Amino acid sequence: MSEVRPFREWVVKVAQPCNLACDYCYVYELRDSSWRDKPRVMAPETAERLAGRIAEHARVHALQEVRIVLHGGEPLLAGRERIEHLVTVLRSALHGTAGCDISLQSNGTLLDPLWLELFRRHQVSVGVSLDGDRGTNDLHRRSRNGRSSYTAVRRGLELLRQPESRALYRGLLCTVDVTTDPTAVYEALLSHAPRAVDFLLPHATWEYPPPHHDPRRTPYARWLLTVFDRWYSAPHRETRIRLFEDIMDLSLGGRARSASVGLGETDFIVVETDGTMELPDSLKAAYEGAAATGMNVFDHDFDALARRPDVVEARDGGPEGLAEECRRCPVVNICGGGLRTHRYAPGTGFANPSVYTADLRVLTTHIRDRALADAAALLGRAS
Amino acid sequence: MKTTASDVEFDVVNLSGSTSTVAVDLDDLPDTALGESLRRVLRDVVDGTLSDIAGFSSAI
Repeated sequence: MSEVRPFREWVVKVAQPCNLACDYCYVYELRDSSWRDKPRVMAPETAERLAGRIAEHARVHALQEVRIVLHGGEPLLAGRERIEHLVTVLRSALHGTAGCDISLQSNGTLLDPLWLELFRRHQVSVGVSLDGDRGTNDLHRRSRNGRSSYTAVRRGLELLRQPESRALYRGLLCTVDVTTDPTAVYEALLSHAPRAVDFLLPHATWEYPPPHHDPRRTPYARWLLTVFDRWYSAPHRETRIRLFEDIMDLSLGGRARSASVGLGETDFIVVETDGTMELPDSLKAAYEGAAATGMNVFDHDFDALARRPDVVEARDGGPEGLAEECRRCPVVNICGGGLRTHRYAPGTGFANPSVYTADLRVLTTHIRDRALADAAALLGRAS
Repeated sequence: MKTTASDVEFDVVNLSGSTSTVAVDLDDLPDTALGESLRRVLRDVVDGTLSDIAGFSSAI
């Protein structure tokens, strides 16, 4: 059984619906409509079966720790009772087998003192999605009737930042809009005192390129590098930025923590509200059914899933699966061809450079060159 | 667990592609983005925790 490369992270879709209708959302607004056929929330028996399967996988592979990300839709729409049941059965099933790091990614609008009390009790940390200040956030992150979500998110963040809950505050996730002022966005995020931030590129493919796609002017690289230079040059570290840290660490001989860059194999899998096992759900931005595997926690264990050729291929971050142009690129070890979803084109599938390839090359080259030159100077002085 | 080792050796690859080895005290590195990156990389190497796997990006 040792040929199976284990999963270490489970993205658990506890609720399908969302109280926002962000126009870039890959679950509802792009190519896949499978959410329509799924239960609105995860049933208790599905949660129990899932917990048992994860514990079984942890035992078989002697995993010391597993990571669970509660996700949606908006996961808080599952309700406190269901979330409490899920985290209880997860911790119970894994007790004595593996540590269990549980986090939740929320739009933050529904956070209230009762939720935070539950999270403190069960040690569930919380990441919040926010795109900047009110004006920037309202460009995309509105409710279905067009109302701003900003005031509600800010209220949720204020609760999360209170001393009794501060330890649960994981950070902020921001999707890039290149029409905005990058420095203003970064400073707006900093005003909420996050311990970490990450910037996501809007999910896009060659069939449906991102807004303002321009491989000659590389607007996404320029936007991100404005933030990078501001963040990197700060005399003291203001927050962590996962994308930049991953590129710097890879440049210096380390590794990436996220699948956005690098040639690492992915170690996570998605479980939907009905217990179906799916590939990374960003693939839903590519085409209908792109994330489906046909397997579920009732009939299959995670080893069976890990052996499937399409799952093996989708998890493989190595250069062999990349386009020839990428394999010859001097920054391929850092960029890694970008997210698999962003390489998709009808007819050629995923064997293409990323639709962001020009931006990624400019971004990674700049960060690599700056980090390497400064590291050499710094370590030269230290030696 | 964080590494407490100091004076760890670190291969510095400069932009010309050549490599030199230097000894580094982790405590001497500045509290900057670059200093933190160097600490993480050194800890990964020293602790042997360097593994080539990556997690979900749509959550933090």
